[in-house]
Amino acid sequence: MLIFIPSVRENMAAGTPYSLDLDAKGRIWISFLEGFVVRMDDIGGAALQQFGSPGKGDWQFRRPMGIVCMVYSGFFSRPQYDIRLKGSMH
Amino acid sequence: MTYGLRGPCTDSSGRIFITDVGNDRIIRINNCIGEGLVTFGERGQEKGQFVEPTAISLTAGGEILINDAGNRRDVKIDDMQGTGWAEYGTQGNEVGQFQGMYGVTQQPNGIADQTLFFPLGIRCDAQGRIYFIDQANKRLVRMNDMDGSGWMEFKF
Repeated sequence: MLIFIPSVRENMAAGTPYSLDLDAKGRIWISFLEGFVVRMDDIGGAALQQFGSPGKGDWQFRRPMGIVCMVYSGFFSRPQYDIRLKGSMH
Repeated sequence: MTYGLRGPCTDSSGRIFITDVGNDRIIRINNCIGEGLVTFGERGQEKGQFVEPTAISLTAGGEILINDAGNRRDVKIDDMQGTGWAEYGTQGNEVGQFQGMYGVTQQPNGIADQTLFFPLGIRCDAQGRIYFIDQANKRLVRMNDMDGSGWMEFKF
């Protein structure tokens, strides 16, 4: 399941931020303990997109922790009990 | 013995930097078998001291950024001797204040979870601005330097 929430400078990602990284384009990627990841273009929340949901299936996270941008559009996140590589937010 | 390693990040020479949360220090090693081990820090609130440092990152110039979560501050040092120590932050929820790691979170099943979590968020962008996660205040903060100038935040 892929969730895109079009939002510009609005807070639509209510949760507890845990880890962050910046990609080559300067965009901000943040993992949340509630089981999702957010990407936004700047500190004002421009082009905020939320990705993922709690769970164990595809595109779901139990508790995403570390997040590292591998390439400009990809990310790597470590849920609590295993390691998964998930695709991009395009 | 280490306890609760967080990070890592690497410098241009490939050396690895880690926070050793439970031992209130940071570690640098030359490779994944631990050669060239250098540590810095001890428990406390003064210069050269940390309380459960949870995140570490490097600036483009090789300076070391540390989220000293237990002391609710960010620290920047030039090297593993602690040269150029600069710190910013106090406890609270206003500008220039952090709540660190003591957040109560909600598990996917809805049960409140008061386990201590350790935010892993501190990064420096190409302009040298510092981003970090102030977890219990549920916000992302950016500041231009360790004096707190240019403080901007985004609340979640």
